[in-house]
Amino acid sequence: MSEPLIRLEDALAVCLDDLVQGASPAQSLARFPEYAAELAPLLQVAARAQTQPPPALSAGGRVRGRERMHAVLTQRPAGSGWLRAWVTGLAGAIILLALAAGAWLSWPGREQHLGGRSTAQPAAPSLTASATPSPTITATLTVENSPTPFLSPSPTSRTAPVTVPAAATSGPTLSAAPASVPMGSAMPGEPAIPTGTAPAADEEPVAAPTLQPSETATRSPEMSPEESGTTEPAETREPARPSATATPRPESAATRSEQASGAPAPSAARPAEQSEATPALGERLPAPSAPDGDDRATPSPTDRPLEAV
Amino acid sequence: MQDVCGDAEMIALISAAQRGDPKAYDQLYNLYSDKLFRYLYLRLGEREPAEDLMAEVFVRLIRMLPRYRINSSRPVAAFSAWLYRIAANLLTDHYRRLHFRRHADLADQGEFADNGPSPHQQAEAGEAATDVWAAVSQLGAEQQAVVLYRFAEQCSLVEAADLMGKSTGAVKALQHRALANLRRLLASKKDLL
Repeated sequence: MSEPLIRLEDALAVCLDDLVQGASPAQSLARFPEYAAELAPLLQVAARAQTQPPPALSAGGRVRGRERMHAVLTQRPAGSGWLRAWVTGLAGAIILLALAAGAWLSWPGREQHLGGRSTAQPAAPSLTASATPSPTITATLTVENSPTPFLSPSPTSRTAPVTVPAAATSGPTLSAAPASVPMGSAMPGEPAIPTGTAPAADEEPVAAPTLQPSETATRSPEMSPEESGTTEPAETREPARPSATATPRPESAATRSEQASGAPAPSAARPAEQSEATPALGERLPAPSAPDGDDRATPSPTDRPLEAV
Repeated sequence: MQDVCGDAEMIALISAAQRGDPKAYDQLYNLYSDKLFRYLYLRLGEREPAEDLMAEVFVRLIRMLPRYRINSSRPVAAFSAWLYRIAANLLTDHYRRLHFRRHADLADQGEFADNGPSPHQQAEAGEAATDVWAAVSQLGAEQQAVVLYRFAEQCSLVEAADLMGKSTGAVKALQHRALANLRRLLASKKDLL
């Protein structure tokens, strides 16, 4: 017996095509007599499937489906979906960028971050005081202000002679050796002096004739609180108090000036051990550094380190 | 495939629907609602969930049609296959929700259902034991599909292959197995009666 020229599956496909075209199963089977026994039951099932109506959608289901589709269509605004998606995404991105920029501009530590921590941290201005013991004490105060990257690009210095009458400095000795006292802070409300124009020695001194150490010797005249940027709490600046051993007198100019200004009594009345514990004049004290980001601290008026002479 | 417009009409219809024309969606609904319902009903064996899923197919169609790319070479077959794929995905989600593993396994294997029919299917089968479509609903997913396309939708072999994403040879073998299993199912129901 020879091999059939067509497979059973192909014969079934041809017969099914004939059924779809309207032929009867008997007519289709006549084309493939070798498969008639196998194809006959399959074609009967196929004919039943063709004659029996398939399950149809009910009228209620059809209406419900159409209404639901129209409800979704009315909720959906007209227009291209991709265009709306792009516009929505772009608007969201712009809003996020605006919020980020606003937060960045309102961040207090932005300037320090921009300039880098090492360069943005302004060096503390230094105050150098030199005095010669004599019946009239002449002291020269030099305040050097280091440049800051944002506020004053060039260094500034200020020199002012201060003359103290000998009567105001009664006491055994006045140990006012030349010293260089770093300045760590600026006081709020300080009158600003033009920077970079140091007056000559014969000009009228900026400071009062009587030394008011609580103000003139501890503040940087050029620095406003915003400029300093390195203010620190009182307890951290306390060691910067220079040593001054003077017998306190109620009539002394320094005491009078402090009483007039309402400040508490200077530490000249402190015990000796406390004065000795503080660094002596002439020592170079390390510049105080403010904690990171704490540039808003404002020292109290009682935290002025240099004591009256 | 019957009741489907020509290629040029289908391209115009899809384009209008993509622009949001409600009339175009109505025409698409008229063309495909019955077909999709039959497909879903045979898979589910129950009328109400099949109608719900059919409506959900058109909801997804509205959402996805703006991103649909028209196949200019065979727009009708490609669009029909796309709609049936949406329906198949919805069926998968439906099975997942119901933890109804039997049909999911059938869909994966594409083989004859050895497990028994659901109670609802048994009731329907009892009412019309000789109902060929009740027996078809117990076939595997691919065999159901080939019977549906070939005998309910009157598709040719090539059209059925297009819709199923298979070769004509695979569809030939599939319809052979489907008819053989269907005959066995119908014979067993007659014996039960």
